[in-house]
Amino acid sequence: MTGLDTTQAVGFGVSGASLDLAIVSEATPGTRSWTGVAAHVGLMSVYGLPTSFALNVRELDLLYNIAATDTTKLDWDSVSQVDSLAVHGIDHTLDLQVSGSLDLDISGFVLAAAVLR
Amino acid sequence: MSEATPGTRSWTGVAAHVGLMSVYGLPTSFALNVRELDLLYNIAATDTTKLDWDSVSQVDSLAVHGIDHTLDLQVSGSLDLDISGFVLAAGSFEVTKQSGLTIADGTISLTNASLLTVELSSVYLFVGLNGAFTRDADNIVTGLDTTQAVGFGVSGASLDLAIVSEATPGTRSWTGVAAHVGLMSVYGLPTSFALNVRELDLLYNIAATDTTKLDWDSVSQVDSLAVHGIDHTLDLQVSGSLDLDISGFVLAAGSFEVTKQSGLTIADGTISLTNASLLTVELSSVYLFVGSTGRSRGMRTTS
Repeated sequence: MTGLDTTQAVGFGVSGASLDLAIVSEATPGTRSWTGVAAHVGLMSVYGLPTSFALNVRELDLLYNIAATDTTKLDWDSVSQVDSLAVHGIDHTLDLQVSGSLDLDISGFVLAAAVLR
Repeated sequence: MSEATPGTRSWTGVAAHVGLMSVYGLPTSFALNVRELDLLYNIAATDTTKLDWDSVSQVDSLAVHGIDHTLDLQVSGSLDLDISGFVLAAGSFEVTKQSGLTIADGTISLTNASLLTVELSSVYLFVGLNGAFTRDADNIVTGLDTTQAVGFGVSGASLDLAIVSEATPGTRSWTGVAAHVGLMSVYGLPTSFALNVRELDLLYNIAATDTTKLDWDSVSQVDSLAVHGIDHTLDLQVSGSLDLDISGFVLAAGSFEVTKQSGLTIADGTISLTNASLLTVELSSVYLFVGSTGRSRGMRTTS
């Protein structure tokens, strides 16, 4: 599988996406757990709408640091066991980060583009 | 081999080989063949000692010369079964039972331990209608012919299972499982529907009753088995890739890896945990389409 052929398609598509989820749980009798989420979407588009309409979201990245019940958060970039995962980029001060870019074209009447960070 | 009187001990080695074992005269739609069946059997003396037959020069010319003193029993061969094209199963197997082993993984140290290994390789399985094997000139199974088939099939699968048991009076045992499936598919559904699971891998580390787990990658006796890739922190790992096409309306594809570990020491500079567990889920190369007339490049529904 190398991609989506949307030449004749009408609908919604996501390409080049990935998700890394990590959950650390302390040993019993402890009940705390910490969750890190890192997601990436290369391209999110709608297809088959009139050619005069285009909406694309590109390089969408999400980092989410979910605290334990005692509100502590893990410094995932210091946890060696997740070195190979994208959650390793999550600092203990981070709660949520979403970034990406968007472009919208409505018949040339409305053009909008933005980088979200 | 017997010792001189007044000694009463004797040691027996057995090596047997069957080139082909078949049933004949049954309906043509039924076939069962066992090929290249090999048996090695090392029977201990009454004092439980076993002979190291591969060091006994007097049996150099016999197949029993291949029997090591740690070996109890080994059976290997290949099998294929065809029940009217409804059930097809084929694969090679090797089951080995050893004892008197010294096994150490750096933490757990065992003497006089026993090891049971089960290896299945080149496994093909089909359940459904009109399935058939493809065979080479020697009638050996080489794959599944699913051209006319409707059903579920597995190709290129293997399984390695290892169980280490400590010597009595100990009762602990440790189990490692490593399985691989090259392709798992459904066949014969409308051409507009396709579901394939590819390169599915499973690693499973089953703890003993005292919750200890073996560091299989430090156990030399399983060097040749896929379980040798199992670390003592690993509980379970499943990975592979999947693609789904429902009439072009829903297309989904991607690779996945789910890993569960335990017994970890995790520290981030502030929070310090011992014996912690970690669950990770990794999805990569994900493609998703919902709509109409979508087509995924490279999608194949046959092996």
